[in-house]
Amino acid sequence: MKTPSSTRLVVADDSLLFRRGLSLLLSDAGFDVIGEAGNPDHLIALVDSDEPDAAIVDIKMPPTFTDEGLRAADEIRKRHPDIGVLVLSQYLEVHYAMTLIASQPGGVGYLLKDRVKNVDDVGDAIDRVVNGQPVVDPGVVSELLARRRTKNPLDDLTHREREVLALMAEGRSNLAIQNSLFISPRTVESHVRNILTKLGLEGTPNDHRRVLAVLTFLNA
Amino acid sequence: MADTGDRAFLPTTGSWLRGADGILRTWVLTGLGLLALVFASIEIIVGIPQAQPTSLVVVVNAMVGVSFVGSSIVAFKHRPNSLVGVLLAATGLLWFSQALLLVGTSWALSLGLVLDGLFWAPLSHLLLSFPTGRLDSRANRVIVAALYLTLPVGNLLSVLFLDPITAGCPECPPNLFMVADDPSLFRLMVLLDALAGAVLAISVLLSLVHRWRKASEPMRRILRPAWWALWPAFCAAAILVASDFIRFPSYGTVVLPLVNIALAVLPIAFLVGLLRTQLDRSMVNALLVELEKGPLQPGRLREAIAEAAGDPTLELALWLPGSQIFVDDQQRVVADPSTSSSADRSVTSVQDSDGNPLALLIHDPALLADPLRVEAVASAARLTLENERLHAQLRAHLEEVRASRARIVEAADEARRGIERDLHDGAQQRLLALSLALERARVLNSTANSPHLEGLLKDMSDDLEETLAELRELARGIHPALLTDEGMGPAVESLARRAQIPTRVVSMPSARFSPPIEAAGFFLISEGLANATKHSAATEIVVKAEANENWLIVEVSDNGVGGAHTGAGTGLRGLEDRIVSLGGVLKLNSPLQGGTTVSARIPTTPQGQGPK
Repeated sequence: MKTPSSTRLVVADDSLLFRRGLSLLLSDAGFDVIGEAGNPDHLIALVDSDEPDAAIVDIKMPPTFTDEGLRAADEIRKRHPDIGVLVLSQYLEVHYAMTLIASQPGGVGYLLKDRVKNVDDVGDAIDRVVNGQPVVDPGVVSELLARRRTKNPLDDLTHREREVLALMAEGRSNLAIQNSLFISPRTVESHVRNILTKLGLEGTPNDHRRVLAVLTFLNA
Repeated sequence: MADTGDRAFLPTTGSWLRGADGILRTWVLTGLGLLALVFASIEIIVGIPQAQPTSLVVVVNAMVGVSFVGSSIVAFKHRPNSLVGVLLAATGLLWFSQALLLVGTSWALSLGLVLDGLFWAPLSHLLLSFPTGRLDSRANRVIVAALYLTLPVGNLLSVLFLDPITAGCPECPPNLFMVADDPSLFRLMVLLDALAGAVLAISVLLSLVHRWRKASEPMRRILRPAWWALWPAFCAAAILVASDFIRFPSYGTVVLPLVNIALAVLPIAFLVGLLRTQLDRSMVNALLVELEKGPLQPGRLREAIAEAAGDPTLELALWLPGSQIFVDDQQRVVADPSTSSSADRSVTSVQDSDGNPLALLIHDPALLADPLRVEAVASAARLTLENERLHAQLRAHLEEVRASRARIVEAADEARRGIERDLHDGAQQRLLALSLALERARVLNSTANSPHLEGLLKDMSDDLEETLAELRELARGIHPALLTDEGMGPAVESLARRAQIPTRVVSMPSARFSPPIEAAGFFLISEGLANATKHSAATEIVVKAEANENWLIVEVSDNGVGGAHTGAGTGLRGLEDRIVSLGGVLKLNSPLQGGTTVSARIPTTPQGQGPK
């Protein structure tokens, strides 16, 4: 795992105020912000020339302010498969998160802009995409888990299993779950196995495929 | 109102037998009938004593005259403007002139001799001009004129040399017109008269065959009864002419009554043909009944008027005052019918109630046989066209209202989108920047180790997070960005996911539609879910949206208590405005205890927005 001090970042957001603030916050937190962009073209050019470890991208950018960030993420991953992309969004919408995660095998993340209230959360997400892992905002996951269902398969899960499922859906690895919940690797594995069995999902060691399977299940 | 191309049949020209002169007409017709009965009585009274070998001959002979005059009365009543009645009456009255020969006074005998056989002139005139009473060719006018001239002149010329007493009627009174008793000259005159008569009779016959052959089917319908009755009558005529020269066996007992019966049938055949057109007037009523049911289908206009007129060949040329051209009912430009009118086609113009031209009807001239019918058809056409025009205006106004409603809804949507964007780009961004600044302050402070400040910053940060979440919900409620950016499917999925009652989205079209249509579909579902959550006590909601090439059909149904209505305050009213403004239909089905289904059918193409 790379240390924050060595992680080189590019930040793209059309709002100068937010972009500057985020760059300063991340710099303060030990990240190396090597460039800022206000639009997708500039972002791609920066990424091409400076090859950062990760790009932080606003989902809405010029010219149409719809899903430029998602398309920029695709473009960056296509050109530089080892550069992580963290898409920041003001929208708590499963659709955008699913679209992003489904389009890339890891290394991409969808995070609410609100998370900047805690730089550790942002830093953690950056580390994960840099390491090729998927990141799904906890708010998106909790919306999925909270969905009302007539016959809710989640009712069969224990409280702890639901916690584990939420972390799985956020894209956490078993190791991260273990650290997060202070439980043993064997306990994590057993929880994960139980959850997958109860939900009728196939077990898969790959974090990305696992998160996708869980998200798809929860969104159904 | 109706102006026929043929001036002779302008109903407005009127007649002393029409309209306000109804009482006079009644008197005249009654007088005519009485006159015929008097003549018939005289003929029978003076004829029977002299009748040989049977009095039947006299009675049948008198019936011919009665038949013509009687038919003329009927014809006068139904066709007051037509010459047909006059010709029938003239034929009948002249027929009775035969009785003059039997009266026994010299002036009656003399007049009778001059008038003998004159009835053939008006009868031929009638045959050649039926049913309009108007001679339509020069040849026919010549023939009829020749008849009116030669028959009396021929009679007069022969009468000059006839002494009935020496000619085999010793008890006859003297002939007042005789200038010389010259039997050989008399025979010559009779022969010349008969020759001229034969030539004219053959001319009439040939002309009739010609008329029949070129007659259109509507015309044949009118001519047919007379056409079939004509042949026995002509044989009768031939026999009458020949009887001057040949002696037929049992002439008086068999041949003469048969001849008379054949002639008596003829006026009735004319009447049948004439009144047949009247029966067809009921078709005009059928058109009116059809009009009452609403606007005609496109292309039905011409057909309906043609049916009412009883003329399948009827063409319609609608006048467009703006572009000063004629079009047919399919909006195809047609040539000005008044410039291309021919003898085979008649043109009737139709004007609106203000006298402005509406259209021209191009039709078979046979329709003119019944001027009242032409007038009725023209009136019906005027009603139809004005009706169509009013419907078109109404449609245009409704369309204007609908379009303005659509513009209002669209403007409101645009405003909501604007507010959502402003919140996103303005307040939300600034609060996020503030959140960033607070976090930086917190990080910087962490080294200073001031727990109070740390706590304060944390509280501010938490408050700000809640504010942001509330603002996000507010913006989404005003107009979801997801709907604008990704369409109905993702926006509805998002709605369903957050619904308080388990909601299944069964189907969603993947295609995108125009913003007003997507907004209508989305807000229907949104309103349906909100109402179900508030009122239905349902345990499940099912959302469906399907699109075919012309329609988007959206439906929200729950399994709750039902009994919902579109009254004020349910939000369904505003929704209905939105959907109707797009030319769509909103339906609410909510039986008590039977769940609630709200659905909408929204046209997605101009085809779908066509007349419903």
